[in-house]
Amino acid sequence: MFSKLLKHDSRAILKYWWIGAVVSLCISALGGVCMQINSVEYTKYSAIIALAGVGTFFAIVGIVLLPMFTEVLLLVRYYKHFFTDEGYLTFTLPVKRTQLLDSKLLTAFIFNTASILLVAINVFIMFSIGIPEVVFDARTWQDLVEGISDFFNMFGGYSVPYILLGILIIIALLLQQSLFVFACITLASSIVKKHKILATIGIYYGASIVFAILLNILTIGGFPTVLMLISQLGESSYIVAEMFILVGVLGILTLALGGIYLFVLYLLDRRLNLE
Amino acid sequence: MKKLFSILLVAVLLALSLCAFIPSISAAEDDWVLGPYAEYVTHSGKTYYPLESRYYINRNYDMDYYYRDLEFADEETEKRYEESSVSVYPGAENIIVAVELESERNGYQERFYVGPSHIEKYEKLAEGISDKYALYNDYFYYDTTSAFKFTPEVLETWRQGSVETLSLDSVFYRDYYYLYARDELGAVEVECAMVIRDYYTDDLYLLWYNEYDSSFFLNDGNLDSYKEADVNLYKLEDEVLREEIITYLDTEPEDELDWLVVEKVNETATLVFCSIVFGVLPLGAFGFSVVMLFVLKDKKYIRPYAVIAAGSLLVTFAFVSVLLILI
Repeated sequence: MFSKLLKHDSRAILKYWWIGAVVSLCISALGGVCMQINSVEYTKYSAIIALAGVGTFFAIVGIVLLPMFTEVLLLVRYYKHFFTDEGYLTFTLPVKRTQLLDSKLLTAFIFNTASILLVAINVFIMFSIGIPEVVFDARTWQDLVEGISDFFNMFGGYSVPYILLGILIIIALLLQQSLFVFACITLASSIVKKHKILATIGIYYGASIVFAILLNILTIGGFPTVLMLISQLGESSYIVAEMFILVGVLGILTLALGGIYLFVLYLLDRRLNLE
Repeated sequence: MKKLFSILLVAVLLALSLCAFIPSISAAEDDWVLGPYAEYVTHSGKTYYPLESRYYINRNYDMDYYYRDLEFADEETEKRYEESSVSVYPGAENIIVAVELESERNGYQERFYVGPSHIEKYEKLAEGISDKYALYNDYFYYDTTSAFKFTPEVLETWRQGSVETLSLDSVFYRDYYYLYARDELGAVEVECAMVIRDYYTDDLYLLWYNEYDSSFFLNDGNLDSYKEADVNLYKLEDEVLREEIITYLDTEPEDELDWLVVEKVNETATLVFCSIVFGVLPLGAFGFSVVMLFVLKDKKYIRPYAVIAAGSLLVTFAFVSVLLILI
């Protein structure tokens, strides 16, 4: 049943997402063309150069907008599926509450990841058309590989744990970001009857400020001192200590995920008077 | 009732107007006013006259001062200057004030205006004559209290030493430092001499501006006309004084950026704070989650509590590991 839920959620998002994806691909291609025009020197058609410059700028903006577009689709889907008339139908489906929430979360993760990958592809397309002499130069890739290699050499013999930790933290961040907004939507829909979207925005910003303050307290309280003490260690001890700090960060994100998930579940149950 | 409120309102407005009027009258008397063509400045019935010097006048920014707007005596003066203000030294308003003027014609200027009873003293200062002299090394960072101080007698003795004559241009290829004549107040200093150091032998020489008529010591960088001019350098014969001055010139203060590095860390406080936030609280969350897992009747809450427990464990594990490494 969960797979069916996932399929329907994904289809609902894909129905509009593919348009955004195609548009962003076209924009990146156009952006590449504008970059080519912009790189022409000594031409009397300075107005065209200026337009090309503006075109490049808007292409970059268009590419950056794709993840935002994806996020909006996901949030609209979540809101409509749970808190509008459609919600009455949703909660009568023979599935667990957790499966409904998990399906939304997994769909959000899949499409957010797809957006990030598509942004990378768009950037590649734009630069391939705009500055092909750089992109298709073997030295560029050589430099890139050397840079990546140098980056991983920083971690001594611990590059694999660092990479794993990095990937896990990114996954946790993506999940936490979506779940946080879902929680704001759920809370707003639970406490207000009208102007739910405004209430969602207000709760989102209010909660963000509260978390920012908590983070500042943590940061001022002891984190810089800990980092300073660690920086005085020998190189290998320093690398290991930093790795454990990343483990701690992952732990905090996991804690936050669990807490927010619990909160959303509780609100959904309360809304449906299932307590 | 309406009439009563109207009367009250009028009374309040009148009182407020009077309150504003009285300070504005006294303020008018207290205004600092720039005279026509900046020939003088007036304030509270006193007139200040400009301090002119062919040498560079340095202002002591360490000294307390406050800003006031400068009014203008007439429209012509107002049109001439775009921006103007006066810096006043508390307790020394009668003596000297610093005026900043900006005009299209002359650009930015800082001029000093002296009270009438002190003009003679400051005119001597303008010629580089004072009871106090100050030498700065390269590290003073505008802290004028850190200067090496001289009396006129010491400088007079210095000028009795042997003389070396060379072209002005070649002076600027050596290490040189500026000597200032200071006023009693400490508000202004006039550049009146140079101390030249021989890089190899650490001998010190004095170049005394007042021996020369030309204005080539003005700090405007335009020395082309004078670079061939010969100047006298007086060698410092007093070995003890020479050592003291060399030590002063070479002494660097403590690194200004050291404050960015936390030398003494309150490790106990950090340990206590981090133990609570990354140790006690996550352990508490872990304990709570485990209890809830046993107490829960509704199985759909098992997963989030399990995730909270896992997260708490990770945080505590990370904290303990870092602590062990630091120990």
